Amino acid sequence: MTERTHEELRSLVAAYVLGAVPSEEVGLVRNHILTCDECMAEADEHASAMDSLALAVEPIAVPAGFADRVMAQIAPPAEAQTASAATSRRNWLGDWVRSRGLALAGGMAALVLLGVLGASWIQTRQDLNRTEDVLSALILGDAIELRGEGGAAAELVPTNEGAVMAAAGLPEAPGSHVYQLWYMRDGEPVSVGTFQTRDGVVVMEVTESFDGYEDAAVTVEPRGGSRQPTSDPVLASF
Amino acid sequence: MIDSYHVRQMTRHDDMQLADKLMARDQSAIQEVMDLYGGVVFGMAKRVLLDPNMAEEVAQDAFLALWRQPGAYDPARGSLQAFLLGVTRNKAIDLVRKEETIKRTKASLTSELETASKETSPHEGLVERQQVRDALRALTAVQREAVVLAYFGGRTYREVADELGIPEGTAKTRLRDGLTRLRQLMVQTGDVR
Repeated sequence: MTERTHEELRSLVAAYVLGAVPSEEVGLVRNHILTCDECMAEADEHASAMDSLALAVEPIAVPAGFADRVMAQIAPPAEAQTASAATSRRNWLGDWVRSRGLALAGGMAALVLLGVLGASWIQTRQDLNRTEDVLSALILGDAIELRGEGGAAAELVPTNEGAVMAAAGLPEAPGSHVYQLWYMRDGEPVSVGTFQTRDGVVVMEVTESFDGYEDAAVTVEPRGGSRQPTSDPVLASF
Repeated sequence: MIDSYHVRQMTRHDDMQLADKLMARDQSAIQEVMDLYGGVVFGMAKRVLLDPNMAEEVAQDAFLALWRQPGAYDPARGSLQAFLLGVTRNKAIDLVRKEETIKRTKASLTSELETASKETSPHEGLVERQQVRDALRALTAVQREAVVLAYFGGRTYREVADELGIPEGTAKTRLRDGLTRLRQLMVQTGDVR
């Protein structure tokens, strides 16, 4: 990539703050802001303007039962509550995994998934919380396994929010292509998102629940994804 | 009459208490947060995503995120409302970017600003909302259009340029001038440092 001048990058600071810089330029602009006092000051000013922008939104009455549905997801099962109260969450997770024994998880893909989770995913408390969901699904055997050529594998794990997919052994999709994940029902594919891998691995949150679907598959598609698969699956649960 | 500064001070005090209760894992706090801010959070989700089911999903996610990671909200850095709205907007935009088909059109995004604000309690920020809306209206039409497309529509500056049929450089300038002007106007009303 050609060197960008300060003025060129500065012209992108407002767009960056608004989240309106395309992903391929985000790193460039961010690195510049972090190393340029002038642009950082400008970013701070734009951020305060953007915070006020949020306040322009008109409130709308929430759907009936909204708070109950949130509360139902908040109240943890009695067993988990006792465990998490006893120790900090991080320790609890470690103890929990050790006490059940990773061997229970079984299968190469599960181990790959644990590796991916450990390496890249457990960064915040929120992530930890999701990781608990993922690990429990994995160990209880609720995860859907996807397999492909050359040891490529993925696990699709149902969560309260939808699902998390972790895949390993997938090389970078060829130029201007992405991977696309599909859920299958009665042989009909439904797109649930596109992704790219880094160093062969990816962890992706899927907002669509797997409930009511039978299979899942991953294909290589042009950037932006396709409405229907246009190639054979590189990973599939069938 | 209570001015906006004092409303803000009272609200921030309540926000701090709520943040403390959330950190102490008090479930009544999240219930209270939903009572106070459910309407604006759902409003934000609905502003970005037309579909009410998707909007509800995003709104639920925003409150769950606060419950699961209450430390992410720092009362010293801003109001709980602004924090929740930021989280909600980000989640909704992520969804819009994944699914091209649910993108709202330019016309539907910009028309909503024209309707007058009706309503409610100081907690829901009536005074501030009116000021921000006035400030938005005080931008030039082309600045407002670009800012609204990027902020509520999840468009990148390139998509803004495409959609408005203007050069990319012009799109960047409109976003930048729009935010700069917005801040100047909010500083004048005393709402922003």
